[in-house]
Amino acid sequence: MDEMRLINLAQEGDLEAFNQLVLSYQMRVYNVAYYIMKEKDSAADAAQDAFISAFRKLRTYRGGSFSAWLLRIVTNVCLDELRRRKRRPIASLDEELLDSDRINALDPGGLTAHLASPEKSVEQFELADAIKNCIQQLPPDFRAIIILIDMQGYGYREASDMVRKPLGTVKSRLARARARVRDCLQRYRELLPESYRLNDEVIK
Amino acid sequence: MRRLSDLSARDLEQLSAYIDRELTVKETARLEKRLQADRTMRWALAELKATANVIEKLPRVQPPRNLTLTEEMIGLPKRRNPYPIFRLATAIAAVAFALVVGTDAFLLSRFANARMIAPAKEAFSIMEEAGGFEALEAPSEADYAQGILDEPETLVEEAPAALGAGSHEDKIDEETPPYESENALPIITGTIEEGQPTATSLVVSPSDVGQIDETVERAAGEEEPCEERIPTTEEAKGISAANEMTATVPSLPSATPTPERWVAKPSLSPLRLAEIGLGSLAVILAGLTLWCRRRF
Repeated sequence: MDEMRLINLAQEGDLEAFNQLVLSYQMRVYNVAYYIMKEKDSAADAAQDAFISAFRKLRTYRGGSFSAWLLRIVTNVCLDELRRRKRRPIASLDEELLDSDRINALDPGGLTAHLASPEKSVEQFELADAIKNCIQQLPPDFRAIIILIDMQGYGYREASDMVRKPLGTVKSRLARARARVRDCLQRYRELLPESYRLNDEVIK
Repeated sequence: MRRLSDLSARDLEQLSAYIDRELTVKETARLEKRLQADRTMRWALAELKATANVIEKLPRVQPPRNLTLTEEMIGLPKRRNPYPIFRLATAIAAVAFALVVGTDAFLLSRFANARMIAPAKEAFSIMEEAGGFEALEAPSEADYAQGILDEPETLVEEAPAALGAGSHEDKIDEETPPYESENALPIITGTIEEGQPTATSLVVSPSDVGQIDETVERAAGEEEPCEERIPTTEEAKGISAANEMTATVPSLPSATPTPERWVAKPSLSPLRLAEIGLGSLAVILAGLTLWCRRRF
């Protein structure tokens, strides 16, 4: 069944149809939540809340990219949750590294793809962990923008719509987020692959 | 080692937007000119591109659990599947329908015979007791000679005229009930139609005579709205003939239903109504059952 038909059915209250949409988008929604929330369980909760919220607001969906609409909801859920936590800080017990067993094996272009040897595999996972740590050091608003644009591949306007910030703000925050991640990654230079190696020899 | 963060926010923004092709043509041309001249800007552009590529290749993570929703999560009470209930209801309605149809068929076959035989028997026995058969036999020549009856030709030809140019014929036809079986006695309509009747067939059914009597009386007694409906001499003759005929026939209970009875009888018996109701209910329930089966 095509996506539009499922959306129409879900708008009429068909939970089964909506769950088919959830199965299609849960990976993307969860990843956005995961990189914004920094925690596996919090990310799952946020993604779940986002789907519940999406089902309830489905009547307000007026066409356009359904994935962008969903990611806007999950981004807002995550940012709201982080703001709430900032007001009432709680000790995180489940801060963790990327789980190697959960890394999507269907990610041919990913850093963990084409693993040649166990040593190489370990290096790749360390690199992925390093990037994740650098991203997670960014403020939540910066994090959301860099994930939506660089990781999920959305345009500036879509990202602006998702985080409900002006286009200029999105441009500016993205540039600063990239610069901060690059500076952070300098600590892990030895992990970076040849093709991705950042070089500062240019100006030497 | 230099830090990208040391660059001005304006330059960073321009370089970042240049990577994503978000600059205008004018801005792009201006930045490219600058890139050719400024080595630091080239370096910063390369660093930003590499960073964006690294982030893009970041591995995707599997959710720890399935994120599909349940009815409890969205605050809906768990819906019970109504399919078994509808299936049972359909079966009950179908059985009830079959029972009612069977009962109706049984009662019809039983009472139809009784209804046809009993009144005929009763009528014949009463007529026998009253010696009515002799009276109902074909009129003799003496009857005609004594003037009790007109000549058959006169009656046959004049009766329609006396009843008023077809309108009363129609009336009789409408009021005359259809016979339930071939065993029933002939009906008056057969005797009034032109060319067919004889005086002999006219006197077979006493009730028919009564009907003629009523009809003729009505024809004679009603005020006719048109001038041509005013009884003529011929009509009066026909009426008197009918009255005389009535006088010759003994008054007997009717063996066939009178028109009034037919009119008063309801068109659908309660059993028929129950059949229709249950049949419709069974069809509706069957449809709902199929819908539930597909839906749930």
